[in-house]
Amino acid sequence: MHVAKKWFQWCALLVVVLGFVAVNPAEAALPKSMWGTAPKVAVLPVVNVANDDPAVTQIVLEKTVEAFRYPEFEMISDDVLLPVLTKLNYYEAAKNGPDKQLLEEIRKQSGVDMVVMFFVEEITQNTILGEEAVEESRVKARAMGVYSWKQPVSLSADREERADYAVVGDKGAINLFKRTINKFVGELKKI
Amino acid sequence: MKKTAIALAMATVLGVAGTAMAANPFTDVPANHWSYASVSKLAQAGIIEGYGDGTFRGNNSITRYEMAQMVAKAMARSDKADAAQKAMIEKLAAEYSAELNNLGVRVSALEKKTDNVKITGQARMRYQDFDADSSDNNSSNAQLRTRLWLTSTVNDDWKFVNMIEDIQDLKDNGTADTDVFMARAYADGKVGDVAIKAGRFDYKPVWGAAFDDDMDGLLVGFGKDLKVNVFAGRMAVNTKGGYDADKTDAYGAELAYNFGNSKKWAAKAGYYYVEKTADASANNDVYEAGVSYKFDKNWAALAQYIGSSEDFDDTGKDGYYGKVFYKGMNLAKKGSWGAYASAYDIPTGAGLNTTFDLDTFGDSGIKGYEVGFDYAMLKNVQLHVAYADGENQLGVDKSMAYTYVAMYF
Repeated sequence: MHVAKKWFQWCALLVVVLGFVAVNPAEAALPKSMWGTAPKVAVLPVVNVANDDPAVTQIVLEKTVEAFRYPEFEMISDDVLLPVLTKLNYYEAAKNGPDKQLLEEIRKQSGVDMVVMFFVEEITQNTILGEEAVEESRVKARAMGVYSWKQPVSLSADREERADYAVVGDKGAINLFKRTINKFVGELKKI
Repeated sequence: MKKTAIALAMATVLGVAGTAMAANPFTDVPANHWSYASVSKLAQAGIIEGYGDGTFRGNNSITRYEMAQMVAKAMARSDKADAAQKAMIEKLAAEYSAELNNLGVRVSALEKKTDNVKITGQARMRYQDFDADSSDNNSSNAQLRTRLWLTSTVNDDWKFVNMIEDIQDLKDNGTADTDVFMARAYADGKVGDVAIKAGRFDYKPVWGAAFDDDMDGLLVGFGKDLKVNVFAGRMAVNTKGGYDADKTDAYGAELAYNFGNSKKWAAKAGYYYVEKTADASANNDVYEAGVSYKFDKNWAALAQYIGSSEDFDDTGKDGYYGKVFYKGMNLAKKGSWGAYASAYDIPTGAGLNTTFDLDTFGDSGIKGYEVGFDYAMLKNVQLHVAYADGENQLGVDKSMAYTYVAMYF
């Protein structure tokens, strides 16, 4: 009777513990890196086949630095990243867009937890036949993130917007691009 | 810990902590952080003052706030930096933007989170002269119209647009001045791949032969190669056939399709049901369909049919609109220009509020021709010159000379 009562108490405790875990599962936690709790992030150079506008790279830089800010994330320096990119012939390998195997190899060789890449295919702003001072902006871009703790994330966008030139000026396409990168970065940084 | 807690509390009171996205400025920046290496390099290059041996702090801890102060010094001396160093400073400025803003350092390359409202505008000075059959009906106007657009970013997919307008009468010493008023206000955004516009907005379906003015209502658009717009609302129509401009509801759809990768050919079609809410006998169906073609980089043309189910005033139900374009003005490129010639015959029932500047008849359709020229005198400065001659469907004749200079800002 005494033994049965003990077994019953242990089983009840087990049920309670299991139930508690099921109702309150452990929160998703950022993976620990070698240096601390923040995941190390490598943001690869932008591959821009749309144009040679330096503003494109600058926009991606600003959005990623803001998104992967220390201490939540830890971006690695170019000193660590560039030799790996040179060794893997990154610009040639990435000229057609993000490649999962390439990014995973970069991740392993640079010792980071997360690699993100942005590929810009089109940023155009054109007037429309028959409609003076109306601009049509178009942005086509892709992004990819590979992670040490979850499956890769692959994103693409093909966005068009039409607006009066008086409303967007000559920056309609660039503003559309900024919003596109904003959305990409928001998805890529999700744990 | 106690010191950090007090510092954090002070930062919160002073607003230094910033938004949820900003890091605690009193967080230590580890010696292996990329910004530490960048600042060290800038110190070694003499952009930032280091210690006597040219190093920067070695492995001593430094807070984000202190790092931002170093970055601010680097920004102040960025004129001495080469291209690579300037890029490094830009990256540092992005990383420490919140702390720099709190230091009162203006980071001009970055968007501030508070800059969600963009103001753009157009100032148009025009002269328009109409000659009619009877000299009693001759008229002219000279006016300065100023429009301001306030585009507020709601999120990455939505914006809210307000347009404020004022017209100053330059011919009659201000007797026809308008008050400043909110001419348009609408939400513009996307839900998934569906574009939505709701409120009072300008609408020009197909090429504007039927309607080109403000509409109060809802416009939903979707599709990639075949674009579809569906709308419902109240159009600001001309008064004709018994329509009451204040009470004319309209529903319809518009299709647009670009053929092939070259996009030389395009087809457009529209159907609109227009009803006068008080008198169903004046309800009408308007339909239009046409094609456009780009011959080469200089020449293009469009041609369309337009029709009305009702024959108002026995003026007919069928019409057309054609236009030829040569080159094209691009406001972002000084010196670019374009010319056009058009001809049109729009029946009374179909001409709800046409795009033609000659159409000041107010009702009874229009037929005629127009030639014009647009020139980008400077970047964002447009010169427009046009001449048109025509009559309404009842035979009232009119010609127009029209010119304006518009500045966009």
